[in-house]
Amino acid sequence: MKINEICKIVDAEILQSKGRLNIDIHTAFAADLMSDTLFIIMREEDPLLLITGVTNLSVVRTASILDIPAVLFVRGKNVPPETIQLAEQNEILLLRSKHIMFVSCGLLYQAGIQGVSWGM
Amino acid sequence: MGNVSVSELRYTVGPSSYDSVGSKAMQVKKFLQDYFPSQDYLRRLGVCVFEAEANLAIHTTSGGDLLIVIYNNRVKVVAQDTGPGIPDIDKALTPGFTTAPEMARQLGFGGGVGLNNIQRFADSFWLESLKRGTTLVFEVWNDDSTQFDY
Repeated sequence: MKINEICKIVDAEILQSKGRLNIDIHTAFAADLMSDTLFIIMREEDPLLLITGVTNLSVVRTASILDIPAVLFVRGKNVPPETIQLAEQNEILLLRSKHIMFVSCGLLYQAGIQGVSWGM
Repeated sequence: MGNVSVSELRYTVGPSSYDSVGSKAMQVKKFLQDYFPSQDYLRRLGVCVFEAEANLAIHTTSGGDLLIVIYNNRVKVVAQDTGPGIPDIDKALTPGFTTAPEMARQLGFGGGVGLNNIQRFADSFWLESLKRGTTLVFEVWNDDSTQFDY
């Protein structure tokens, strides 16, 4: 699923567009704990969307370490400029939806996005 | 046996430096991109360094040091601090067990799976903890690529 389609489905705006805008995303992971996010099993051929309500720098750092190309912030959270700047430097797309996490996940799942494998 | 080349990186991690958790791991991963072309390897290593860095920031009294040693196809990481030590290592290695302060959890850390995550990806893992300090040593090997000249 293309980024533009994801934006349509969860009514999201693109906060940071430098990165892999044409990427095709089939899997997602949702969490506010970056500790748990670091525990997912990433596969290079399977680019991931990270869905979270946390907007600090650690989210971008986690995405960068895991080669996650796009982050969707939920609950219409205010995203600090330093988070956007770090995402731009590391070419990680940032999206924002006003939906709560449950609804965002439900809409994307209904549209065919699958959950990623988790480590435990 | 050919010549063994060694390169190393050193970082200091401050106590309660929650805001910068992951920044050293990012630097390490970027530096190593010139050494190791495998994204999968860099990701595994990056996760381990991130977790070690987070432990130093969250759980130490005075912060600690991160040493990254690159030799041939292996990277060794040493994370060392001066206390307060891990009272029960078995508990610390139990998934979900955490002593992280509320502040760290609010920022998305302290899920209680950090050491497990390092064990999951590391090819060797050694942990010793006393009240006067903890030393964690692990290696992540890049098995499927050729040797590099540094």
